[in-house]
Amino acid sequence: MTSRSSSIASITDLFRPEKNKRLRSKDLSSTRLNVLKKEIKTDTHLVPLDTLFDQLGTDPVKGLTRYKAQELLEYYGYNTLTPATQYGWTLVLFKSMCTGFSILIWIGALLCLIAYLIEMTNKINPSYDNLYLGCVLIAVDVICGLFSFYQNYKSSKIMKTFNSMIPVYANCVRDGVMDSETPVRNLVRGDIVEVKAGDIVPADIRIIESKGFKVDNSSLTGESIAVLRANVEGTSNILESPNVAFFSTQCVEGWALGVVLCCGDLTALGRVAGLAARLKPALSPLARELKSFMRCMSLWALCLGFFLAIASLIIGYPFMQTIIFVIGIIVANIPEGLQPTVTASLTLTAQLMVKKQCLVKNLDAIEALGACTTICSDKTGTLTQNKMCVHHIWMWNQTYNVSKIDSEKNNKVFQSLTICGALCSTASIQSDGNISGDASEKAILNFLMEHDNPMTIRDNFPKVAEIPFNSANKYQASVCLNKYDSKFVVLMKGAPEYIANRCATIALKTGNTSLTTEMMKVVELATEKLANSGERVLAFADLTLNTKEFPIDFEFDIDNINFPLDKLRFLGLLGLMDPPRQEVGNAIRRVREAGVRVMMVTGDHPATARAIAHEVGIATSENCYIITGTELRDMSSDVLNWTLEKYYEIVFARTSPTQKLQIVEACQSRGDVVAVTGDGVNDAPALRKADIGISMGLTGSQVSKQTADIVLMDDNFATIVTGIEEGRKIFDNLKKSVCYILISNAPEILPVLMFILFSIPLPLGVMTIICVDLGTDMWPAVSLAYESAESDVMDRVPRKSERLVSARMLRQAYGHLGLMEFAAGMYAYFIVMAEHGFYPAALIGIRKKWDNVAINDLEDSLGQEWTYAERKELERAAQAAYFVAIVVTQMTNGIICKTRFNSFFQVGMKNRILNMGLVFELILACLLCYIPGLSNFFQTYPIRVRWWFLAIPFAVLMFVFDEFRKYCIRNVMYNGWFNNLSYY
Amino acid sequence: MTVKKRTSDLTSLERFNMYYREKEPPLTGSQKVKRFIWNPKTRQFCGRTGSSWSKIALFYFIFYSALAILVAICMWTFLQLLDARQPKWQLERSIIGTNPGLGFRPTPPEVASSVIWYKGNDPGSQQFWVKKLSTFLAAYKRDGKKAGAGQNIHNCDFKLPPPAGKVCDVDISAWGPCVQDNYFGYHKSTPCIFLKLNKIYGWRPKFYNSSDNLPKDMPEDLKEHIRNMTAYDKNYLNMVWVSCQGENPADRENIGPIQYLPHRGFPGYYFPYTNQEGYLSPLVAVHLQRPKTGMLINIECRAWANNIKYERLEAMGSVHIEMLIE
Repeated sequence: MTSRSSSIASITDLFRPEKNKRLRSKDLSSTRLNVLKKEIKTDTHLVPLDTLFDQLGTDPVKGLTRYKAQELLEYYGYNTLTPATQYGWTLVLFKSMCTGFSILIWIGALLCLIAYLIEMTNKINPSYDNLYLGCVLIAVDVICGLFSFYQNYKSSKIMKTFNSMIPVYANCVRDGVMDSETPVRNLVRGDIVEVKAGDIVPADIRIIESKGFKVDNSSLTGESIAVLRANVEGTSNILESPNVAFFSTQCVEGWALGVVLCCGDLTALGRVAGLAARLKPALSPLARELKSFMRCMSLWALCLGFFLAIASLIIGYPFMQTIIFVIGIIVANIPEGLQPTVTASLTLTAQLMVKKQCLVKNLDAIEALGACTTICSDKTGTLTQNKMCVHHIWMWNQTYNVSKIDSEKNNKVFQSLTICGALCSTASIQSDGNISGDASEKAILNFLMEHDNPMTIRDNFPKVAEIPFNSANKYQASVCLNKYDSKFVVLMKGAPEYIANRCATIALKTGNTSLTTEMMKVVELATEKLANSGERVLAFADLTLNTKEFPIDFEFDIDNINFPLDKLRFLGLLGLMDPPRQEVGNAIRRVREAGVRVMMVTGDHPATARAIAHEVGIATSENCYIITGTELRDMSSDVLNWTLEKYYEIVFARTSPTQKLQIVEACQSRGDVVAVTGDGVNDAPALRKADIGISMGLTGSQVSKQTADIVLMDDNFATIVTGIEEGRKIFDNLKKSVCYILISNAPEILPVLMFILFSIPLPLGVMTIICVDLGTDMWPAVSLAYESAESDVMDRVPRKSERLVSARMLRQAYGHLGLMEFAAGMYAYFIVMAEHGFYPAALIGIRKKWDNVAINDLEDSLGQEWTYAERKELERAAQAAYFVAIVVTQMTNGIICKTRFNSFFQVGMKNRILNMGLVFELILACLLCYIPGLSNFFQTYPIRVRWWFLAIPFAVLMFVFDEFRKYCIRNVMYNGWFNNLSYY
Repeated sequence: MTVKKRTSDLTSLERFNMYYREKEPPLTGSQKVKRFIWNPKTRQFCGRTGSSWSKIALFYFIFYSALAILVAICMWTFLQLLDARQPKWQLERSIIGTNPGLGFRPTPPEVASSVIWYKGNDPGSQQFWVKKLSTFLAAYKRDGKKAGAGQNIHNCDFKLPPPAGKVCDVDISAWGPCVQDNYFGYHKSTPCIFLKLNKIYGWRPKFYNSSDNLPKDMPEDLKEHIRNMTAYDKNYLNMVWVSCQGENPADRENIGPIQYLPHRGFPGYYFPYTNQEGYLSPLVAVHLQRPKTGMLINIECRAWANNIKYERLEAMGSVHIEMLIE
């Protein structure tokens, strides 16, 4: 990559609509991604406005000229979000059909077709077997490909949801004319726009002039608290700068005139969207395992096939024969049923989770959740309800919890406080009972609704004047008329330090006393205490004006204040906070017990973050480490890594969307499997990058739901615990399924070796192998996913080094059970041969004559002579017997694989799906053998009933052996030798 | 809790370095392989110590022995249950069925080939086939010294079927030109091919023993022969007839006249085959009297009996031979 500085000019160039000719679209996309990952560095919000106007070539009154705007629009493109280059579904389908085993199966199919073509050109009457086999292999490939396609393909609509956040029209001044119907997509840098309450900010703008302009930055910070924006001095971090309003944020109150700083992809939102859409989520742990396993298997199969092919060609086997057993080796070695089994098992669990109100969008995520080692949780809306509530009430020298305030109903101070609160709160109750207004105002009103009727109070105290809140005086005051005694009351609400300074007296239960310095100290202490526990503290005060000075017809003037705003009576404090969801504390405790680390990553203030962290149990001691966004920016990745290593409980506060992503990436680089929970737009990049992105279904933004892998439909954090449990269970059960599938591999590979080494007629055909892998084995393998957990999975620590396919499992599958199956199969094969006159001794070395079409009179051990067609039929019968032996022993294996640890007799046959699966396996085997068309196509044979029983001694041996093995494992006998050998 | 600034916090960096110093330096790939093959620290070879290896070897030895023993016991028990003289499944119940195929000698050496190819003027190439035939016919040579084998041989005739426990003799000396002394006719480019009917335990042919209901596709010369035989001696009709002819019209011209020796078929007294001691398959020597040289001749020989079905693709009741004399 060329070294590109991340200065605005080059970024702007990078996002120009015309394709940069020097870069391929893929490079461009990754360059853009790298640029987006960096924090925004700009000074456009710091320079004096006039300088900025000069830079942008605009005029604060007249705006841009139409001509210039058009020019800029043509150069930089529309003010929209550019979607990332997406792979079409055809490409994804093509890719899923050519990954892992698929390539090998394609090779096999190709070899089959080649063999058929060779035969077709050489013979007058070619047999269609190779053609059929080729077609079946292609079908297998397509089926497996579709399964992995189903799992891989997620149509990404992320950009669409982002774009839906953008308004259509904006008020824009150009050539000195205000046009309220300017399409937002036509805005360019330097445009002068006006934003009113209710509007959505059409681009990143710097405020020129404003009045009471409040924006809800929740789409960027996740905190739905309206913040004041005005033409004041900016701070270095543009995201926190009080003179900038961002694209897509909503104006809650007031109006503002601003100049557009940047548009489209370069805005703060554009960066978040660009990141979320362009990030490639890491491969899930399961996918990683499967990938490496498939690679190993394929390599092994290829090597074996290649080696055998060379060897047999050297020995002197004809080319056709060599092709046939190379195909045999490849098909036998590949567990074709693996991908469908995994997909089906995960789908089943996903369906189970849907019943628990948990939508699993990405199947792998459910297993990844079981493997998850770290959860990075957003605070607002995820851990908390994202709803401000009054949490504590402080009246002289006593802090009351909101739930225990009822005992104070008759307290005079409390009554005054409710009156003051009802009159000061700017929230209004609409006709439909909904409360509208600022979050904290709503909280106050909500609280009062529970204890009093604020509407009656408001009726009894008509408001005559109001001084609205502004950032300069930090209070809000209103003057009301007390209808009972016809006196005016001044009521004030605001930051405690400002209010307390204006107070002369304080209300006690017993009456009013003057506010002494000591008492002030007490008030300050109480304020600090509440603030430290993460609450937003509001103080209330009132003053009854005497009728002499302020008669009933007194005109209150709020511009030139003609009434006293000091010497007030201090009433009390209200502590507001966004309370944690009820279930969260318990859920986090359980998650931590399960060995998963929980960290908080929030855009909120450190104090609030810490308070919530303590409350929900993310932080349990003073060791909890709090890192703010500013500190994080100064950390090198090594220091961040070290911090993650050193401290177990970490809270990240005041983080930007990119920093959330940075934290996730840091965790992942340590080898953690990271789950991110979040609900806001600002979480989108982190959700996307995380191994498991979890979004909230009710409160979550569209964008976060679109990006997430899992959506909690009822916002219940506790579902994550269930998810972890299910994820771990499915991993355990997947191991059983994989083991089950692998066991039948050994009796599929070894016949080919017997064929080559002992020159016996082929004991198991390729078609039959496919019948086992994708036919009879499928249902039982999938149904093992329904097994209940063998032990409490939540007692374990997350698996980190535990593999899906371990050496122990391979030993168990190939070395023990698989060999027994092989023995059973060979026994059945030899018996069928012997019953027809070919004794085992006679078979060894017979292959060359056996497979020779020209030999029409091959003599068996009893002197009978077999034509080619007759002995091929016998071969099919023997192969069918081998197949049936595999089926019978695999049914036993289904029972064996039910448990890895417990005895079968403890568990029983309670898994009905598995029971049905075993019956299905039997019926399918019968169908394959006895339906004329099928048996011809799949090269099986309607075998005698007695041959079904040949494998039974081996099945019994397998069962007994495995029960013994599990017994040894349970009791850790022989120093745990069996545990080390084969406890997978 | 106070949050420290750690912009250029040296102490934390130092601690960071210390933390990582405790870990061993990562091994390179080749070191890892070496360490895996032989780890001197733990005295492990391929990840296991000597005692571990011996234990695992012992386990697998016992395990596989037990498995092998089980297979052996099962196999032995089963084979004990089988009759050593006759197949478990016979005729219709066996896959071999009731439709014997035909075999021919000499068999070509190449796999999947049925071409008898030699050079008429090259004794070396003839020798190969002659040798093959004499090896094949060695079993038919009556050798008085061979006790046991020759004991129950009986000279059968159509009027003289073999008594129980005896088998019929196949006299190879009376086959005119198709004898070893005559190099089976190979040196004169008039080669003999020997046909044999596949042995099927207990199979009895149903002869075409009257000239009335002969199948339509039977060659005319065979029909003629059967009619002649009917006139000559009805006993001779108890025969599984044999016919050989070129597969295509051109082959039929090239093949020339054919002589069948000693009979034009397999006499009925050889049947049924019941795995008798010393049983010899009856043979028919097909003598190509004037085959065209330098040309590949496709010959199809068929056996004719009421219960022999014919299907060319599956080679049922027939055999395909190619002959090329240069």
